[in-house]
This record gives sequence, C-alpha cells and structure tokens, in this order.
Amino acid sequence: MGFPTVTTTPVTLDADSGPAIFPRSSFPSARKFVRLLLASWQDALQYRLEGAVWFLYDLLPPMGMLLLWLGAYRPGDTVAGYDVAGMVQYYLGVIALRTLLNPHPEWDIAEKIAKGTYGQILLRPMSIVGYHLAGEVAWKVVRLFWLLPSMGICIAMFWEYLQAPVVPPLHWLAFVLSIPLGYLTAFFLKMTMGYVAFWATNTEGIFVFMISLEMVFTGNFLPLQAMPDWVRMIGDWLPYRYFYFFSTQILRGTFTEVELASGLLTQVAWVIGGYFMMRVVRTAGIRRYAAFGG
Amino acid sequence: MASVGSAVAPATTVWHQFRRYLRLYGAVARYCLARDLEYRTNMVFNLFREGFYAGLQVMFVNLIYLNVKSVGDWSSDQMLVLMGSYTIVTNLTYCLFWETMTGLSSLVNTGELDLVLTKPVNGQFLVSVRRIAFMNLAPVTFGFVIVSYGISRLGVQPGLADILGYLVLCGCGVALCYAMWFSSVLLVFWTGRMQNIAAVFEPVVSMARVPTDVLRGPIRLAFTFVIPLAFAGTVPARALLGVGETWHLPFAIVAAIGAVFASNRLWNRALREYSSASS
Repeated sequence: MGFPTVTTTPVTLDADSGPAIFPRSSFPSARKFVRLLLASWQDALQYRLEGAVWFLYDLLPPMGMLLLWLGAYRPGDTVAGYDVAGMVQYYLGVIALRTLLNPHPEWDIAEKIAKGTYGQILLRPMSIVGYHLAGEVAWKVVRLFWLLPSMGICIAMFWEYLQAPVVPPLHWLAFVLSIPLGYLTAFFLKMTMGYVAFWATNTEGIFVFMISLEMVFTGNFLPLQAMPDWVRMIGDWLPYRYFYFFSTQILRGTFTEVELASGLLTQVAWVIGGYFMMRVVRTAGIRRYAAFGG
Repeated sequence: MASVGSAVAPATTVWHQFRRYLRLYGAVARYCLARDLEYRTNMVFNLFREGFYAGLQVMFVNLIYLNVKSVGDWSSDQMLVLMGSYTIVTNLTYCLFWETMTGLSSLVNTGELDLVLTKPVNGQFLVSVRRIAFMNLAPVTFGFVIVSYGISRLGVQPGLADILGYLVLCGCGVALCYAMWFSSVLLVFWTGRMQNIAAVFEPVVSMARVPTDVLRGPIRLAFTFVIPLAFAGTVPARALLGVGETWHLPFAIVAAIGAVFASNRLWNRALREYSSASS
C-alpha cells in the first residue's frame, strides 16, 4: 500500500484569515467554540486552586480600600457623591465585576510567543480570537466557584449597607449590555498588549506597569469621582473606565437615557477599535515572528 | 533518611553554627550581587521600576485624603508613616525571600529539591535564602524616605530608643511575613502542581495598608493575632509616632520567634510528603 499522493499547497500565514488551506472567519463557528470552551474548562478545573490564588488579587486590594473608606466616613458623610452604603456597594460591585470581566490573555500570548510555540496556535484551523476567548471564559467560570462564597461572606459582613439597586428597566437592560461590551473592550486591548511580545523579550515589566494604570483608571483603587481632575481627564481618553466602572455606575441610577446610550456606543467603539488594533499589531508581529520549537 | 534537611556539621557551639550560617549567607549575598551587577542596565531598570511602584502605592492610598480629613485617627502625615513602614517591611521581605519562594514550587515538582536536601546545611535555611532580589532595596530606601518625611511634617522627634524599637518591630514584621509566606508555600507539598502558590502572599499582605485600629470586631483580632498583618505596618508606625502599646515589642519578638519555629515544624512535616521526582 503506497502513500497517497500529497499535493502541496503554498501556505500563506496570514493573520486575518489563517493558512490558506484552512479558510476561516475571524470568529469561530458556535460548535467549534463550544468544543474549545469545554476543553479549556477541563484545563481550568485542573488548576482551580491556582485560580483561587489569582482570585485573591481581585478580592483583597479593593476590600482593603473599602475598609480604609469605612474608617474615613463619619455619620452622614457623603464623599465624591457616595454615602457610606453607596461606597460599600461600589466596591462589592467592583470585586464581582472585576473578577468576571477582567481577562488576561496577554500573559498566555506573551509566554507562547517567547517560547516559540505561538506558531502552533496560528496554524490551527480555528479562530485565534476564539481560541483565547474560550480559554478566558472557561477560567472566569471556574473563578465563579470562588467568587460566589466570597460574595456571600461579604454580603453577610456588610448586610447593613446593602440594598437592591432601584433603577428603571432600561438601566437594567443597559447594564446587561455593558457586561459583554466591557469584557470585549478589555479582551482586545489585552490581546494587543500580549502581541507586544513579538517585539519585546521581557514583557512582564510592561504588563505590570499596565496593571498599575488599569488599577487607577478602572476605579479599582478609588471611584473615579474621588480622583483628582487631571486623573479623570486622562481617564476620559482611555478605555479603562469601560471595563467595569461604567457598569457599576449604571446601577447607581444617576445616568440619563442619553448618557446611557452614549456610554454604550462608546463601549461599542472601543470594542471595534480594539479588535482592529489587535489585528494590525498581530499582523505586523507575525511578519517578523521567527518561531522555534515543535 | 532521618538526617535529610538537618545540619550534619560537626558538633559545635551555637555560636559557631551561627557564624557558619552567617558566612554562608554572606556568600549567597555576594553571588547574587555579582549576578545582578553583571546585567547593570537591567538592575538599574528594576531598581527604578520597583521604586516607582512603591511610590504609586503610597500615592494611591493618600489620594483618599483629597476627599476626607482622616481615616480613623490617622491623619494624612501619619498615614505616610504607616505606608512607609508597610513599604519597608514588605519590600525587605520581597528582597530577602521573593525569588526563593517563587522557586520552591518548581524545586518540589521537578525533584531538584533533592540537591538542596542532601547539602550539609539546614534545608529550610537553604531553600529560603538561595536568592536575594537586590532590586527591592529601592522601595525599602523609598520607604525610609517616606517615613522620615511624614515624621518631619508631624514634628515628632523620636529618641534613639524609639528608633531602635521601630527597627526591631520592622525586623519582627519581616520575620512574621516570612513565616506566613513560607508556611503557605509549603502547601505545594500536598497539592503538587501549584505554580502560583507564592503569589498568595502579595494580595494578603496588601491588607496591611489598612490601619488595624480602623478595623472592627473579629477582623481586627484576626489581623493582629491570626494573620499578624498589623506588624507589617500599623504596629511599627504607631511605635515611631509614640502612640504604640508597650506590650507590642515583647509580643512581636515572641511572635516572630514562635512563627519561624512553627514554620520549621511545618517544613519538617511537609518533607514527609515529598517523594523525589528526579530520575
């Protein structure tokens, strides 16, 4: 039995469409995505204890800031538009939303590029975005195991300050829409950061610096209203406030309908802009990528 | 292998043992410094980076004072002393132990721990001091500058005894942080693959930025006695400001010695779970 004749087709490694022998769209079919998600879910389950450690980074720094604020409030105080109950609800919202909506694809991308194994991802007959998205979503689902009991403890600790948000249905709808948009804003920005590894050997310093910026401009340390004017002015030009700060503000009920629409449209713009920026950087990076490894 | 991890040097006095370990530590420090200086640009960049992050942390916490006059009884300048003390204690801990803590998981998983355990030196000592991250000396220095600045703004003039007491409390804070961190990293002997276990320390110790007297009820007790974060910021700062409790210093010394001893017991227990992974 002889070997079948193999017709070799020149493979062009194009960032947008992948190898020509595997035509694909930039987003995966639902079936492939579900398969990827399940595989990533199994992987994430194996490392659930590691997930608990990363969860502490989402939980404890904002909790520390909340405890500082509780020490600062005097009866009847309102600080930066927040009474004490509002401040507690803000930080609990930040903890929950940051845990669920803050992806970190950049570390995986940079590690694979540095090791020379990113070529394996590029050559697979599937969407690169879908590959990373499935991995990140699976990890976030596992993170729920840690978030839910932690939020239960937080709710018991701060019960006296808590009340369900009283906002019109339109605000709830906007809140629901802002969740995936915030996630994708962060996701594409961080994918772009990850592709910096095509040029930089050691990206850890860059990522840690970006996390510092993120902590300020997403409202993780302080609500943006409590920041100095110049910080807020800079933040207006950056996408960070649309990661999850915008969602927390929707449930405060202070936005008008116009502000809601404008905020959601800005999120959409950041998602589209972030996606194209990621593709441009990735394409440029692949052109100079000299992979090694099997 | 009853002698694994224990000293097998000829019987000598405690003083001779101490000098021997001191000489060994000096050799490690010289090696690490030489290694860092080989990549001077990298070291300068890292020194700058670590100092910058420490500065950011101090700035963020003090941004609260743009909105309020005090946090509990802590004014803005007093908070500078606390944040400076926190920066000193945590970064000294990172300087002395960061690289070894992050490397322990790999030592256990790859079986390279064998090489450590068969050396004629205490195993815990060797795994704890194999690397020194000199870049973290930048934020330590920055911490002292912040503390001095806060003290000068407050007009407090601590005496020599106060300064010595402060330094001892900071030292005890480092020892307690080490014992807590090391004990948590030992979990890898039971869980196997857990590469990021050393990272658990950073978010936990970040809670030491909160003055413990601001906390209420069980959280306050937990942060003083169970996870003694108070000694990584609040207690040294209060001592330097002249408002510390007299029992803090003897308690800190006893707690530090006890915690390091307890971590040693846990290390010996963890070694029983270790089976070499090397070929």
